[in-house]
Amino acid sequence: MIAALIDAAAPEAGARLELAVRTDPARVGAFAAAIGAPEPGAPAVPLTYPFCWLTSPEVRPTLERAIGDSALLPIHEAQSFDYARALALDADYRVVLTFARTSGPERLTVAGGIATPAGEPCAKFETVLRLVPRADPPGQAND
Amino acid sequence: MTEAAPADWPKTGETIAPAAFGPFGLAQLAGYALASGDDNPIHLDAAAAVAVGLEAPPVHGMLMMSCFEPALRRWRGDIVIASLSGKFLRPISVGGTVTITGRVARSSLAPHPELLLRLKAQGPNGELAILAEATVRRAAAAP
Repeated sequence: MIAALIDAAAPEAGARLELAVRTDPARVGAFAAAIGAPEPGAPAVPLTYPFCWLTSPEVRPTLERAIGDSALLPIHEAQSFDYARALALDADYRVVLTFARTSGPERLTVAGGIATPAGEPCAKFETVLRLVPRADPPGQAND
Repeated sequence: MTEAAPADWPKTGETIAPAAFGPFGLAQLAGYALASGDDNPIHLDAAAAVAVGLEAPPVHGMLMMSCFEPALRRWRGDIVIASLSGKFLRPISVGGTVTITGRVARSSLAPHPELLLRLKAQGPNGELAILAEATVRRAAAAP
């Protein structure tokens, strides 16, 4: 379950979004199954699971505003995860996302920090999206 | 205080046995889209993929990146991944397989056994899909 604590007041890139999230066992289990049968001894929460929080409905409007132009298609260019400690299953966390746009070429970088509700850092992640012109911009497709 | 490493702790230059995943069919991509929230239509709709210049729907980059964790766990069960970063270089089309390979770029023992790994995710024809790097530690030394 995700709850946006602070909505991105600024629609432009540079926005900061803070979320209250939970490693819900059913959702984590579904994700683990979708990436393949868990290996023996695998962590309770897959390493790449935090990416799910970036695609959540609470984040998507901010992401789209940060991209800013519907004629641009985001292409996933790079991704990183850096763990201070593994995430626990069925636990609450706070996620802070920051969105930064750069030019030449156009990119959007989303940096995320995951901490316990008490503020103890758990992990960081970064998503780099290259923004390329769509072949068929929305509204100009074959319609 | 330096933690003792097991006698078979990998040395610099040691290779990681290839680990194969997939093939990733449309059903797997649909399952990943649902579980991860990454519902970009290019992964599920051939027409959407063609519209952005691809021959066929590509396997989600994050689904491919998720293969590194089980691949490393198959290699050694006594490690935890402290960090993982990757650059997405080429798409793998639906129906393709992903093979993870790598080598130990640096093996250190102090202050605790730690490895820097250079990793690759390659498609069915050897095409380089992700170039990655990971830092892993002996599980007993995990924070």
